[in-house]
Amino acid sequence: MPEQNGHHIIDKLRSKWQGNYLAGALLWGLTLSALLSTLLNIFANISWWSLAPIAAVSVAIVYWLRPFKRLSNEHITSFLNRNYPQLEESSQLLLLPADSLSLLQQLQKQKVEKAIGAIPAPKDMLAPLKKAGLAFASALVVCAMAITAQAHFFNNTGADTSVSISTPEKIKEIIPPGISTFSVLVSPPAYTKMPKRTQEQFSLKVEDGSQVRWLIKTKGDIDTVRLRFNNKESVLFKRAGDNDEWQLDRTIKESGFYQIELGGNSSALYTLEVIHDQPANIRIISPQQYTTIEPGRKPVSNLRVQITDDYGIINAQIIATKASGKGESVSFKEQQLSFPVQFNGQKNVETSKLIDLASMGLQGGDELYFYIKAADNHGQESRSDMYFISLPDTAELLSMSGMESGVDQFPEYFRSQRQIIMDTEKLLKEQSSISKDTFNVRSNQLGIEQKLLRLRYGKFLGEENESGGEGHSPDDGHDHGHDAGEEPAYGDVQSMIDQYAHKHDNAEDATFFEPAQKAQLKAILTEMWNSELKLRTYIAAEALPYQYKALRLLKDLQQKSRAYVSKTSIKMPPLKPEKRLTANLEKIVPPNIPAKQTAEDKRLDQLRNAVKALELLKQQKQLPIEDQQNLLAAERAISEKAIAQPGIFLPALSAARTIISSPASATKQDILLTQKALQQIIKTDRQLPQKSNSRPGSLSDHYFKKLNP
Amino acid sequence: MKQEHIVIILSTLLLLFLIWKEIKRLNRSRLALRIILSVIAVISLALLFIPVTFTAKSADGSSKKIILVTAGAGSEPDSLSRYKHITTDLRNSSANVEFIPDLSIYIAGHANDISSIHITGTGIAEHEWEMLNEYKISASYDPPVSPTGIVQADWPRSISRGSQLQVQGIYNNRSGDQVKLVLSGLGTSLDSVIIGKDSSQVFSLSCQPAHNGNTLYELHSVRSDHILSAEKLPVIIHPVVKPRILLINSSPGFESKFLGTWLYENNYPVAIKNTVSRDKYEQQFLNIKATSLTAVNSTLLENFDLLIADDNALAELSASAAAAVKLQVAKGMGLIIEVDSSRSISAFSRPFILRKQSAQQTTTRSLSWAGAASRKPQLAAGDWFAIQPDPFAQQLVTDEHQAVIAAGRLSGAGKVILNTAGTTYSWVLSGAMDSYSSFWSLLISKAARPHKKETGWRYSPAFPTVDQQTILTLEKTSVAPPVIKTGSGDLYTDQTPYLPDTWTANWWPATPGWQTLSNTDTASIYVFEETDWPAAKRTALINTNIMYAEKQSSTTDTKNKVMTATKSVPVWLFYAALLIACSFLWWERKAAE
Repeated sequence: MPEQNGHHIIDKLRSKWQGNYLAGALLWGLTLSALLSTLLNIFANISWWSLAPIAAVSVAIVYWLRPFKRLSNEHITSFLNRNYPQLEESSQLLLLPADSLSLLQQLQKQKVEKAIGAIPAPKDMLAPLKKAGLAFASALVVCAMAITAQAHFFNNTGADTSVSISTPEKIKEIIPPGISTFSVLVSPPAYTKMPKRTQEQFSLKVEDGSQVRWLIKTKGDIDTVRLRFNNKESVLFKRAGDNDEWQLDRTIKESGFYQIELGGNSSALYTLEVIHDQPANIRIISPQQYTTIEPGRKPVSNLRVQITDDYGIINAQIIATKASGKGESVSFKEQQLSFPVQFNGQKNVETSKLIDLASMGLQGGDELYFYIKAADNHGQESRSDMYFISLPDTAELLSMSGMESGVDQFPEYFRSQRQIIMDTEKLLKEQSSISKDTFNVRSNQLGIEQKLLRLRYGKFLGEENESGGEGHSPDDGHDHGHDAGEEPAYGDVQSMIDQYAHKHDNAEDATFFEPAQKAQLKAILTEMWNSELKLRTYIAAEALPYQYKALRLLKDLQQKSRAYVSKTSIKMPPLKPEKRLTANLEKIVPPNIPAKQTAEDKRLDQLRNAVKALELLKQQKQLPIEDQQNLLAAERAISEKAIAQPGIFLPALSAARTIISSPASATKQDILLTQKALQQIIKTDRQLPQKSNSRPGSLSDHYFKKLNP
Repeated sequence: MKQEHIVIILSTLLLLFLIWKEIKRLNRSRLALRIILSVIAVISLALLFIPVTFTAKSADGSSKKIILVTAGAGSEPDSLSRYKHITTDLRNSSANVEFIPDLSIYIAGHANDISSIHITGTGIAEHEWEMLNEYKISASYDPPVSPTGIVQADWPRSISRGSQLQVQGIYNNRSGDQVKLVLSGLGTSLDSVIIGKDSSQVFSLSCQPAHNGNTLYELHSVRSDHILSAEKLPVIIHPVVKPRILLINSSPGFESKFLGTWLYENNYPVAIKNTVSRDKYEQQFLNIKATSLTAVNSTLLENFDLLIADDNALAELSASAAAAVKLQVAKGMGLIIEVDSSRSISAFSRPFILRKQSAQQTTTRSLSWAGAASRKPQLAAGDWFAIQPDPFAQQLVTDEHQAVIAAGRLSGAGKVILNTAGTTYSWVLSGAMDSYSSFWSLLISKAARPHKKETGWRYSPAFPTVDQQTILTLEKTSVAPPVIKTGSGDLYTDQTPYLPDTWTANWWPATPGWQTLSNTDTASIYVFEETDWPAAKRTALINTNIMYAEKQSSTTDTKNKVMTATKSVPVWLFYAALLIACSFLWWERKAAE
């Protein structure tokens, strides 16, 4: 069956090819699913079991997308024709039934059948499998790398957070031998919203007001178990159930340290730290503490606040006080504003509120004082600093009061600024009724007036023209007072420089104003510049605030240049010089102030000497009795400190105790610990006056005596 | 008569006798030859006893130059490899380098074989240089690269409580990493500085001790958490010796009120006298027994170490009181005068010339003085005047324009200080207690009557080391030589010529650590171990060696040029000549028979 044979070969090739495609597709699916599940595992913490469904789905998708189903025998023959010239482009003849072929075709078919049996398996057949295999291998490598990287970077932080949340860091502790097992149950108070926790460690770090329960199982014959707080208070454990189980409950409010006494034997010292609840922290981001809203600007202020607390904020309010009126008729009105957010125990709230001063009834000349009050869920209240927003009174600015009397330094110019404001306001009022061109022309004219005004004020500052730095040309039309004929003396460098330099007085120093006055004048000029800019760009409305500010500054300046002298009506009798210091003072007894003595801080001195004694102990094994006294004083001082800060001073306290119990066997470590604690207790000294040392009869003394006979 | 002369006379006689015998001989053939040979034989015989020397230019001396390799020597140039190498350091010894236990003994034994010595490495001790000079051995020195670590350091060996302990030095860092220097003491790190990589850097560390007694501070150098070295800084911290102070004011004022309170709080004995009206005084006694201050006289002033008074109060003193103050100042009492105008009223402030300063725009002046914090303390300007600088007054406090605010002068054995800063209490009000303490500590410590001490102790070198000589100097007025008691026996002292109350003793400390020396009072000295401060010690030794080598090369340069060696003719030559001459004479006689 030659015909069958050729057909069979092609069929076999096709199915092989399809098989390869299928295997490739499977690998692709696995590649994709491996990558996907690794990603999910790292970032979303989804378990590795997700691999199976993902793989199934992705294989299905690939199977559905891939073209290998459509691979037909025709594809194979055309591939063979292209790659194997010995088939003479006629392998498709093998697929056709023999009876449909012409003679020539049959001859050719026979020839091809022979050839097709001889051709090797095409290499391209394995290509999809190879590709998929490569992709799969690289995906596996990538996944492995990602997992190790994650273990490296993410694990640390993950482990840390979990530890800090659940249990405090492990401290190596000495457990008394009489205890077989123990546990400490800490129930934090409600406001912390923290769960109960147990720990197998005596060192405690608990929230303020926590309920702590010690459960101790002893071994051997022990009749009492006590807890000794801060070396003072002693509490008995209760037997719980079994004979050797003991229990004690206590609410912890303050830091300190404690010991467990088992039938008279004390344990090591354990720390008892209390984490106190902090009041809420309020931070006002905007506005500034002192804000002035210029007339012409919208009377609104955007308040932005950040409130943070360690456990939760339950309430926050703005307490605002409106102050209106002047002089004796100032009235205050307080009102409470709320924030547009709900406070239900968040730890961090950032919010903003628009304070509309106009709707609160503030007018020109009024001021608003406000602060923010916040309460946390432990009932602690905190409040921010006071903030001030003021609205200047335009009416007062424009009034002529104060102009009629007193020194009138710049009356003409001053009126001009007022005039410009009035004109601008008039222009703005008429804006709707006049054409745009007219408006622009008038605005520009006002700008020119503003410029002229600015130039006039510039003169007060010694500015010549525009405050530009253009120099003079040689023929400027003025000379600077030096005579052209006068030759400078030989070697007089300064005069030679003067000859070629164009010297002016410094514009800054050319006037008679105080520096503060000058600074304010400059500020006025800046405002005028801005006003002119707005007027000339036809935005007259925006020029108004600058004009008002310039006017306000001008008025300030004017007020400053006045001196106020109040009227006096008392007439003093003239002094008689001859009678001065002649009174009879006999009966006047000088004040008798009793002598005062301060006790030298004996304790501090003892501590200072204790440091010295410890230093001595590094070299020697024995101590004099007074140094032992000093060491006892040091131990007392450290134990007092340890009550407040057990975490810092407790190790030093136990070190000090071992040193006192056996000074001869004190280790350097213990000595250093104790010295370190003492260093912290003795506060750093200031420099104090003292006598210098000298020895009578020394060489310098001899010299002194010889020189001063 | 010298040995040579006897030999010459004897051999001349022998020669004459031999010549006479030859002439008298019957067989006169070869007479001339025989006579010549006899002469040769006698001369040779004589020269066997008389050494014949001649001078010759010594060759390059290669056989006599040796190389001394000491610890820390680097690789040497090839030109030196042909010389003999010796070392005193067992670690450097090898097949080519001979180990000698002691240089002095070696040189003494081989002095003739050595003309010059070349030293490499850290070098040799001073006494060994002296010995080389004695033996006239020229020496040259090749210093190694400077050591790594703290190559120089200094700090006050004793300070008083409350003052700054400042440690300064140079760190030589040749590693590619930066090094952190940490000053630590009493289990606490007190100050630190980073030394950049590959640099030699000057460092300055400081702390303010608040305790008493002998303390061992440590200077650690740390490179990436490894401690490279830990050096010891022994410091003695003295308790404060408090002067007794009398304050006299023409009127009650803030300045004296705050000063009195501050002194009272710090336990200083203070008496204050303020004039409240004509002949009416307010008197305060703080930490001191009450006595009458109405009359200022010598007996009152003798109880005080320092008088602080304003210029008016001094001017108002009666003539006798002023004289008493003057006498006491001449005897050593200190006087601080507070002035508040540019006019000197009292006789005490007159030597200082005050001048009004031109008005300044600023309202504060920032003061600076020795020991003040780096942040300059500001003081309200008030009346702006200053003390004219003059060569006899010590400037104590100046402002930013270098105008003198406070200055001191000697007056007899005492000191007079003029202070124009009248508003220092503003520092107390503004909480700048450090500035206030520092300012008044300076003035009071400068002025106060010195504390009398019976003995003074000094020692050299600065680093007393175990098993090395330390020279102790005791200053004490005493008729009999004082005896110093140490932990390991008594030391007897020598009186220093010209300085009758200075006594010295040689001390060889046996144990390291704090040692107590006692005479009528005690002194503490820290004895270092041999291994302490290695880099600093090596640097010091290298510098000493460089100095000695320089000194030697400048003196031996000319000597080297005329240097010739005296060589003696080998004796065996004469012996051979004698033998040949005698043999010939004997043979000739045999042959003639």
